[in-house]
Amino acid sequence: MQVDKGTQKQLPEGLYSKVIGYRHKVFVEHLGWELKTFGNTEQDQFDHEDTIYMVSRDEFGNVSGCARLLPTTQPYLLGDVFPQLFNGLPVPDSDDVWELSRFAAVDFHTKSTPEAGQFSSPITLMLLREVMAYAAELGAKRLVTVSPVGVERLLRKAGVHAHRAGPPMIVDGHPIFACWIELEA
Amino acid sequence: MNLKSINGPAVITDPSSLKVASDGYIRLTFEEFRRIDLVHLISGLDEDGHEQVLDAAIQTNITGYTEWVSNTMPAISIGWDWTIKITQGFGGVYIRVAEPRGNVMLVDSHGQDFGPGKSATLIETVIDEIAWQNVVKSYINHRYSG
Repeated sequence: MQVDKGTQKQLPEGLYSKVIGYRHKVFVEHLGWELKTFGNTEQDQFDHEDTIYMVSRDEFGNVSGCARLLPTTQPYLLGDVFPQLFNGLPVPDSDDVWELSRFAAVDFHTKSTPEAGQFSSPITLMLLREVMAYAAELGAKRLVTVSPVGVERLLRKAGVHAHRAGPPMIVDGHPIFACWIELEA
Repeated sequence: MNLKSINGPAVITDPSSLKVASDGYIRLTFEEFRRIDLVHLISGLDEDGHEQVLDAAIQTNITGYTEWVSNTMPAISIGWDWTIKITQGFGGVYIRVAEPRGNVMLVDSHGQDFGPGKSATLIETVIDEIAWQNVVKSYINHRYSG
């Protein structure tokens, strides 16, 4: 697994276009999330020149996973769209808290068709660890993410210290919640 | 679901004293926790694979989650996974699998954290004392009967 990381400009040429196409395939086509789309790509207001991306690719260069990192000192998804998930606390606004969003690891190019889950690929945990390590390099001590409740299983399986910030809210019949991920050693 | 039916030491929990710490946890003692009323929020079937079933080594394809909350502000949130074990003569029995998840950190009488592992183990004992299975079964039957 090869992982590229950086802003849109820092990623290898053409990779950002592949990422937003991959996100469309995962989140819109497979998971049915109602997100802002442009043709067969998915982007929102948090995809800008300072946004950090992490992209995993297989040996043939196909995107097999992605993640998006945003500092909470700038506008971010949880803070702007889901502040109620913090159980009455003010939303994080700190250099050492970063938001992880649009995290997916679905390999569309393996022979055995994966289940349609957001984290169905075997590389999921490897990519998660890469994301956590890079976030720590960027100065993060904690990550926060809005996720379906199944993410807690994944994190626990990976031995990650994570817990919810408050009760889930129900969106389209599915519970989502704000999750703290501790990056301490 | 009312946990007050479980007898415990005469510690009166004042729900208004609950606070969310800056790390997101609500801290309280085990006795305080077991006196909090939890109500069912939502349950559902898993839609993305069977990994927790494999972890639990129980042979079934029907698995799901359930979420419970307190009627306090801030709210306590506890969720856990379950599976249906088919037993002869009794139909499906709902069984909790894996540790519960939530926003609670249990503390000792000195206010020291038990840590996530021990907290989850203690919370498990409370979950396993309550009759959540009937609530979840009824909800699942209703939700997916259409």
